[in-house]
Amino acid sequence: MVSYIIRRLLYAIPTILGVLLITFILFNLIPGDPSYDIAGKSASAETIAEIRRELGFDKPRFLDTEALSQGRIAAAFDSQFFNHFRNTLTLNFPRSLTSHEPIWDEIKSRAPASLTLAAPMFIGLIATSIAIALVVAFARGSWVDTILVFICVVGMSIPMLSYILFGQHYLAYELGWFPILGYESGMQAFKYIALPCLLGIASGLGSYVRFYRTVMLDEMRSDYVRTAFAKGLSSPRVLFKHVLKNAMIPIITTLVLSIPFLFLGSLLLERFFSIPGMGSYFLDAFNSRDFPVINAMVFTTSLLYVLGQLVTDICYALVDPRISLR
Amino acid sequence: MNDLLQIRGLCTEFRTEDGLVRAVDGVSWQVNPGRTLGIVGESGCGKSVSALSVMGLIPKPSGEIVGGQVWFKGQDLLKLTERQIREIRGNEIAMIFQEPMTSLNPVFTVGNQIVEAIKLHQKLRTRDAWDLAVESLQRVGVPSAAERVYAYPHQLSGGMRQRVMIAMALSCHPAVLIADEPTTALDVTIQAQILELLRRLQAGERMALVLITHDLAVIAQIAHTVAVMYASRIVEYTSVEALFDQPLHPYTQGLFRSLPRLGQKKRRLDAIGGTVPNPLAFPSGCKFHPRCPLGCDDKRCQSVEPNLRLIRPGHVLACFKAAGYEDSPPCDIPTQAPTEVSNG
Amino acid sequence: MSMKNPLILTPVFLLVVLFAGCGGDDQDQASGKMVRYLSLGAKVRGMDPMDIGDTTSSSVASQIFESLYQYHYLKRPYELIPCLAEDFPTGEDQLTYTFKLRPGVVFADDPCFTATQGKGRQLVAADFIYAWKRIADVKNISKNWWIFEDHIVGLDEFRDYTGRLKAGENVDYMRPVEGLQAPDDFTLVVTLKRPWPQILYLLAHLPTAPVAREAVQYYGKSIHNHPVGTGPYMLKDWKRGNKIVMVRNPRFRQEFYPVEGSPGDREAGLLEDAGKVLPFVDEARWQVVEEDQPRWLIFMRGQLDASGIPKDFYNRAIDPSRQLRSEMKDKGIRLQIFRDPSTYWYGFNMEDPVVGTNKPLRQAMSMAINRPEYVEIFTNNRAEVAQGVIPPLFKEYDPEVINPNCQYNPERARELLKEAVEVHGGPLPTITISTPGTDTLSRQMGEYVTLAMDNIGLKVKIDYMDWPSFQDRIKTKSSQVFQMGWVADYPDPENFMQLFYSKNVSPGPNNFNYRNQAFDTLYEKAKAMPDSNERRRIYHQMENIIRDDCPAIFLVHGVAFVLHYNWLKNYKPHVFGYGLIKYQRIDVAARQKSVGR
Repeated sequence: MVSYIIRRLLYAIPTILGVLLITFILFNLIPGDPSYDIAGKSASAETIAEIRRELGFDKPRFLDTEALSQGRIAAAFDSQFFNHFRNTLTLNFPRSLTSHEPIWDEIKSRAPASLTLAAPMFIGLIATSIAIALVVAFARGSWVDTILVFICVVGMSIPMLSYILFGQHYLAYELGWFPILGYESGMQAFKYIALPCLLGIASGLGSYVRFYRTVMLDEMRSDYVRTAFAKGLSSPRVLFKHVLKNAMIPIITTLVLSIPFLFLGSLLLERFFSIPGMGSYFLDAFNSRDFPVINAMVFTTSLLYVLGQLVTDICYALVDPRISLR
Repeated sequence: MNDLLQIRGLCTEFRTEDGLVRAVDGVSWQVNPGRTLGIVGESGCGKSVSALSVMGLIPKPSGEIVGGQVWFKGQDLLKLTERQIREIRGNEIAMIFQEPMTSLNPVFTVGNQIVEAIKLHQKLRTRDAWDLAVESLQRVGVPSAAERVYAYPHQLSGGMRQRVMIAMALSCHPAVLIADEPTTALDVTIQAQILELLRRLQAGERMALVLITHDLAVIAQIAHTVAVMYASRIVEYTSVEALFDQPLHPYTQGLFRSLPRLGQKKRRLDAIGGTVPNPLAFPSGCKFHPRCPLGCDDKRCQSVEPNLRLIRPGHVLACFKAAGYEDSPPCDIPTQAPTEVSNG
Repeated sequence: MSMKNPLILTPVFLLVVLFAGCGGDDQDQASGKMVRYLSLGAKVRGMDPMDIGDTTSSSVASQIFESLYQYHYLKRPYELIPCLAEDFPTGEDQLTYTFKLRPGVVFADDPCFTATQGKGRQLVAADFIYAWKRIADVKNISKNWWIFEDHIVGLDEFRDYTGRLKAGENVDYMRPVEGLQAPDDFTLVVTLKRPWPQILYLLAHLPTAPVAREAVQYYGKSIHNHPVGTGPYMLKDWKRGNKIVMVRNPRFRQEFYPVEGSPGDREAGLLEDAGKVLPFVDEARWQVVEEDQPRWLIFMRGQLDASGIPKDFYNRAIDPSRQLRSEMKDKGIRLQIFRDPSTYWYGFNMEDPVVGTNKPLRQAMSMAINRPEYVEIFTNNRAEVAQGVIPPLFKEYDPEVINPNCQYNPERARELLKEAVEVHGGPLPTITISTPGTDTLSRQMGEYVTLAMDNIGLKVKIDYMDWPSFQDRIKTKSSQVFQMGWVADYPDPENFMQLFYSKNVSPGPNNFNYRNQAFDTLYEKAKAMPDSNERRRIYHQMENIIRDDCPAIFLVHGVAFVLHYNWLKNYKPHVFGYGLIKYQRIDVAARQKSVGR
């Protein structure tokens, strides 16, 4: 197990390096230079040049060939490319170009807000959709199934923005069941995340239920299900014990795959409900080409993704005795 | 109705995307304690569906039993509620399946799955149920059962898994065991062991056994009576001795011809010509007539479907071409089995 | 057997969520504290005056920092009054300014004042010199160097000196700058290289506010989180992306509400608090709201005192006769309409080989757009048609002038286009217009312009992009036509004219890369002149050159619509000043009556 984890983490190194390479390429390809933003609207060319020097944009892109030919090895590698790798891998993230806040501090203060919203939403979404999928699978072919599947398809085709606009206007403003927006940390947070959480679940439910229904129905065609019924087990018992545990394997796979989409979804929710999370931070950073921030977030996300995959594998092993981590 | 399990005129249909399929069409058979009924036929002939119909395991809503009765201990199982039939299912009538590889749930230990069946039908404490599970594993010849009870299916061989399936099925001492191709997926030596095991257990428990197979060799080893099915119907139904002595239906004869025999030099087996008919478009008349070696030019064979008739004591048959068929009385089930006096 | 009904899970979850929603709302309402509720549409980047270049950050930090001068709250046209300065500067020539500081001004209490156990010390002239040197310090990469660049004797040299320092070397802020002298604690003498009549406007600008050296040293790189100023408010809480809370500075100097204003102010109740001690409001709270709908909803709930009108809600608030709808009036909402110091245009890159050398083409494109229609479709009539670059708000604006190039005239445009083909020496290629925005409104505008140009027989292609990509385009001179605008920093047309001065070409503010010798000569002349009729005449000459040369298709000037509740007293829109909360007052009882349930 331990050796497996170590091996998996070693395999992750090329992935991480690849991510770094891609971010470097993107930063060079995406149009937009943060220097103009920093310089302000009336800046002179000299000021902009000064800023570019300060940010290290004037350094050679890959290798300082001049320094190399003079034999100054260390100086030769003082390039944008090598600095990008060196700084990221040593977690030496600079301050944000726009807010001048240390990036880690801002991530530390924003990640809890994002998680406070995303975690209950995600768990609620998964739990609710599995529950509904079980009902639908149990009632397969009946009118309950047909109606629920119809509702799912309708729900899937409504964009998330519509849920947000509707929920915020009617549930929060007209009916006053929820605060319109805002965020406080601690227990107070639940008051504020309730509506966005609910809307996130509602908008995701259609596709999740449909997917899980398919997973469940696939499992229900298995031979072991027939065996279980032949034993005289009732349908709920077969569904909850036999089908659910087997269905966990494809479900776990989708969980990890949906985390990036969840992140995007939260971005909208965070904006509309003024939740000071990672979504708006990333968007602001992108809109001002705050490369250090984008880099730190992409790097952290890819680390989390690698860890997530590892956790997935461990979960597989927990759920399915046929899988062992060696 | 004094028979333990008797099905009469069972009809089961499936709705498919291409249309309605009658998988079982007026099938009747019976089985009694200590006796073994073999149902033989090619895949898709409806033999498994008839067994699943008995268990009430027809996948709904696509499948539906549209006619007939299933009499068990004097009551028609088709008239019972779902709850009532669940009490019989796995308890008094148990079933084992063809694929021991997939018929066990891969994510639970075999003990867990056996205990589940035991606790469902018997008021036992968990501990006792586990003891019983070990015991039933021992009974089916699983070595070191006390440890194997904690094994997962994938840790066992195919033969062992089938033994587990049998142990699970027999854990509640059922009156009837339906075995659907129990040995098909196993290699030959294991097949023999499993059949031997089934015979031993059946004798010990005075259990009725319904054995579904496509393999006449298996029938020969274990069955007392045999029903031959073709295209959703029984075409011949008699004792195993009578059938092996003189198969009357051209289809049964074809099955025998396709058996490899010791000492036979011919390398190619005589398969039955033609293909299994499409259940969505059965031929008119006798469903076997397009493949029938006796010639399909007969107008009657092409237009009228022969029903089962008692062509001789203990032997029912559905074939116009058989000698004496015309004069025989219609009969579903061989009324007077020649081996009625049994020593079992 | 553990039988769980899967349906049970859903209602339990919903219940938890619903219950969580039913909390109490506003605890401050009850306490009687006077709280001003505001919203922030964009990110506040920081509160270090040196580094503030955007209106959002200015509007917040200006409650904390003060400069030498400020705008009179009520008088229009806008005029300056002393703030930290005791009076207007003295000096015979136009090159030396002597400012006397108002006595008794102290910095707000802050832990950075270690010598006095956190008690804020007196403001001295050296604090200004220090703050301005920080802006000049290259290492600080300040956005605001443009304010002082090439104006003050010795300051540019100070900047060069900081630029020569190697990494890790400390800047010596004691290094003298000849043009910035403090003969005593309350006297600041500024010596200029050449006349700079706009200096007072810029000394009313937030970035020129004095900064305590103790704070910069104490907080180091985090100074942007710890504003220490002399103003009426102090930062209490700042959660980035969420909210900002400020409280009254107990050591704020005595300042009084103005006793005179513009005509109509007395009738509007704006002089009811005349002569009273400022500020009134105890606490100011900003809530970050990035989207239109939630901002509008919390305003309608009374959780904001004032709000603009998002485009999608315009018709719900305003009727076709530009009056507030009665439902809004019944809620105690009032409407204020005022002019913005802004001008919007499609600019031409004069270095582009096609549009830059083809005046008939530029004029034709300018005539192709039906401005009144544009105003109606895209702004709900919240704009005025432009005849040039100077907005109507400026006293230099001449309402008599009708610019033929700004009149919708497709016939003339088609004729001009024929000339344009001759000038070009062949059929005109497709013209590309860069647009900073990919949203629906930008696309609708793009389509409108495409159709307008199509109507005169010109093919255009709209290139939609985000702001940084757009900036890249114009700063590297690689756009052909670009959609842009400018909001003046101070009420002097010089702020607009600099956009066409040849020494300011990209990446400077002259994004048109416009070069005109005659214009430059006039600009240099006017720039050194104090306000006068003569200068006004020169500005008109300059504007006429631009009108005719057409380096831009001038479209509209902005008109702002602001709604506020009647419990927000002394509310008068101001387009140049930001530190205005001190003048405003909340009728707490009226708010409670209106919002309370």
